[in-house]
Parts: sequence; C-alpha cells; structure tokens
Amino acid sequence: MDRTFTIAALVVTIFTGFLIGYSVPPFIKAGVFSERQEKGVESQIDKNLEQHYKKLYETDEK
Amino acid sequence: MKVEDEARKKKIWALGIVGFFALVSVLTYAYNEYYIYLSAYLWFGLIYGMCLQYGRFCFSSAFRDLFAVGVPRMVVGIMTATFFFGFVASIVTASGFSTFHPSPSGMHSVIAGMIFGVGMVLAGGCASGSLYKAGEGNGVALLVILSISVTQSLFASTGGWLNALVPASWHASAISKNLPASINAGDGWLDQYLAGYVWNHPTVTFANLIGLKDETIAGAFLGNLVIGVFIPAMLLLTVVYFIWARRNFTREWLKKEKTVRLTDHLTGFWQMLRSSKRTSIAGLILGVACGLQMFVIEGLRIKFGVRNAGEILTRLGSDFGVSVQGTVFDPGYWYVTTQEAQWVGWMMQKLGWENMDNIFFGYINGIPNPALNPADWMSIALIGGAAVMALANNEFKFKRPTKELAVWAIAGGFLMGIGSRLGLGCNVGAFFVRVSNGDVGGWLFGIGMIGGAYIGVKFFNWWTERRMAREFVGMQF
Repeated sequence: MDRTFTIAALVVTIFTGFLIGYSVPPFIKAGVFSERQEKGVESQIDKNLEQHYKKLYETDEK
Repeated sequence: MKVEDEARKKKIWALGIVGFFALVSVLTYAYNEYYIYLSAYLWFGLIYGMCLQYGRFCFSSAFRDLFAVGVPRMVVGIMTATFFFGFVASIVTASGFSTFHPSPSGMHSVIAGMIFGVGMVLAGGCASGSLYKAGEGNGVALLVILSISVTQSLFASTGGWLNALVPASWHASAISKNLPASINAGDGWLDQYLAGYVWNHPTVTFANLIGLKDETIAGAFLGNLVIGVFIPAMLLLTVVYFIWARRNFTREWLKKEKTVRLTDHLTGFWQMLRSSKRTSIAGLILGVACGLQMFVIEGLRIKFGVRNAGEILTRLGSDFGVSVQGTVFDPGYWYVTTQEAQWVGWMMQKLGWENMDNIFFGYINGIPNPALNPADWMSIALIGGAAVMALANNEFKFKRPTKELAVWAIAGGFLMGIGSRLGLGCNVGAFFVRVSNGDVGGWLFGIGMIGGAYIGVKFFNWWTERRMAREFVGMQF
C-alpha cells in the first residue's frame, strides 16, 4: 500500500479514534448504556444561556 | 525523473494537508476545549472527502453514465453505499444516539429533486461530487460550488417581485405561525414557501408508516432499513438490471450456454452488484463514518450540555450570526449545501445586505463566521480529504474552466441551488442521508432527481447533436 496513504489513514484514525473515545464517557455518565430504560439522550442546558435566548426572543416580540 | 519529482512533491503536499488539519485541531483544542466540537466535523469531513475521491462518488456521473451510455456501475455503488449507511444509521437510531430528524415531505420534494437533477447533469457534478472534484484541482467544480452558494443565499432572502408569485394561502399560513418579530415571514418567496407550505406537511419515516417508533430495534431495522432502504433499492436495481445490464449479460452468457433462464439472471444481477467494488468500498466506509459522526456529535452535546453549536459559539464569544433561537446549522451528520449558502450569506451581511430577517438564516441556520462554522469546517476538510487522495495517487491537476464549461457550471449550479432550498437539501442532505435514515421524503426527492437527471441527459444530447450538426454544415461549406 502507498506509504503516503498509510500515514494519512493512520493520522485520520488516531484523531477519529480520539473523538470517539472522547464522546463515550458522556454517554456512560448520562446512563445511556446502563440504567436508563428509555432510548434517547438528554442534554443539560446551561440555565443562564437558556434565559439569554428567552430574552432575545422577548426583545424581538416587542 | 521530472515525473517522479512531481509525484513526490504531490505526496508531500498530501501529508502537508493532513498535518495542517492535525495542527488546527491540536492548537484550537489547546486554546479552548469547545473547539473539539468543530474538530469532530473536520475529521469526519476529511474521511468523506477521501472516500468520495476514492470511489468517484458522484450522483451526476452515476445517472449520466446510466442514461447516456447504459453503464450502471456508479448507480449500483450509490445504492450499496445507501444500504451500508442505512445499516449503521439503524444501529445508531435503535441505540438512541441519532441526531437525524426527518423533514416535511410531499410533492414539493419530487419537484425540488427534479430541478436539482437537471442542474447536476448540466453542471457535470452533484453537490458532493463538485466538492471532491474541487479537491482534485477542478476549476469547473469550484465554479459550481460558487454558483450553488450564491444562488441559495440570494434565493433565501429575495422578496420584492417574487412575493407576487406567492399564493395567498401560503402567505396567510406563514403569518399565522407567529414567528418572532425580527423574522419577516410574510416577505420573501422562500420564507412563505417554508412557513406557509412546507411546514404544513407531515414528517414521516417508514417505521412510523407501519406504526413503529424509530428508536426501537423493529422500527429502525424492519421499518427504516428493510422497508425504507433495502426493498426500494433492490426494486430500483432490478429495474436498472433489466433495462440496462441484462443485454450485456445475456450476450456474454450465450457465448457459453444455449439459453438464458430467468434464474440465470440472478447470476447477472450479482455480477452487476459486484462491478462497482471501488464505489462500494467507499460507500461502506462512508456509511460507517456517517453513523460514527452522529454518535460523536451527540456525545459531545451531552458532555457540553448543549443542543446546538450556536451555544458553543456563544460561549466562545462569537455570537454574530447566531439565529434568533440561538442556533446555527449543526446537523450532526454529513451535509453539503446549507453551509455553502451560509458563507455567502455571512459575507453579504458584512457588506450590508440584511440576511437575518428571513427564516432560512435568521430563524434556523444563522450565518456564523465561516472560520467558526462547524459545517464549514466539514466542507473545507472534505475538499482537503479529496485533495489528499488525489495528491497521494498523482491524480491532482489544476484544470481551468473553458468559457463553455463555465456557463454550464453556473447554470447547473443555479438549478442545484434552487432545488436544494426547495427540497431542504441536496443529493446528500435530501436524498442519501434521508433515505438511509428511513425518511419517506428522501425517496420522493430521489424520484424527482432521477427524473431530472434523465431530462438533463436528453437535453444535453439534443444540444450536442445540434451543435455538431451545425459544425458539420460549416465544414462542408
């Protein structure tokens, strides 16, 4: 196999592997693989940001 | 010696591109952890680009080859890829990690697909095909991308005389949606089409049609994969075999045997499926990568406690161009055209054109700085990935467009831009991704796209014959 392609594929695999590994713990923490009965995941929304967007919306309605 | 030096230089460039993306990821992550969200788009984009270039994965070539010269190789490859992606998507959906949402579907999906199909044949490349061809140094493909981008951006915000073409019922329905005051839903053709017509249509998956939930094993695999992907794809390939591939198989078969029985055609069908190994391998990797991207993006959303990248951009201190809902375009999977509209929309906004008062930009997708737009990172990396493969295999070459090709590229790109916005996506977002995830609207767009490609091929043939006849007359004179 071409050496350039092998190096490129290796770098892509390392970075993608890191990303996959990086995203597994949040699923475990959210209980998706264990105690959750229902499928699907929920994200915890920052309350301050939610308020920020609500205010934006209110300003637009005025 | 000179040829060898050229090839070596290209290989160094290929490694340089990969190194550049690696450096961007490491440095941005070191600067702020949130950048890993954008890097996720980047690395999957790079994989898509590498796969597309390796498999010559282009919907325009697929249907042009089929209708013009009767070669089904690429159509088979695309169907194989769709099945593989459907399989991975079903695992992701059944596990509850999917970021996919079906879109409203109806007759508009067919019409949009048809406009898009004509456009991609005229341009000589579909939306994704143009991206990977740009990575090979093709100037025509760059023009197609530019044309799609500008057309979409202008179409999203144009009102004026186009408002006169909006049916009164669409206008009334759009106004009744009570969108925020900053969004002028009663002005602009596309706004009223979206809010007054498209949103009134149901979003349906094949799982829902048979009374199942998408996030169940039966719904994801039986409904969305078997009924939604496998059966229609096999039907389509059977039609392709009997119209285009059967004749060749029969001719070869009769050299060895006396007759061709119906069961022998199973051998011929299998041979047709195996004829596109390269595209199928690319399709398999594309499918796995698309599924993994959904998984990774969903994981990052949980980690950072966000529903959309708009919140991440705001935390990074760049809230310019974030929609009124606090969102930016963040599909969580492979997509092509919306981010192309966004960078032109952002540029025009900077030049004084108001783009944040329409639904497409202002209410849903936003127009963030392209340097921080996750989907733009994906598209840039896709072009880079295609360039890496082309350079590594000594297939990269700058090709300047001729005047004639430039005209076709702009005209085709214009039609693809219109079709994309009417169909809520291109051959990837409105067909490949949707079909693979069991969205009924994906096939409606696909039917239109195939019909449009047929019209495009017939038109092209007519144009070429007419031109050749004229040149022939000139030579005789």
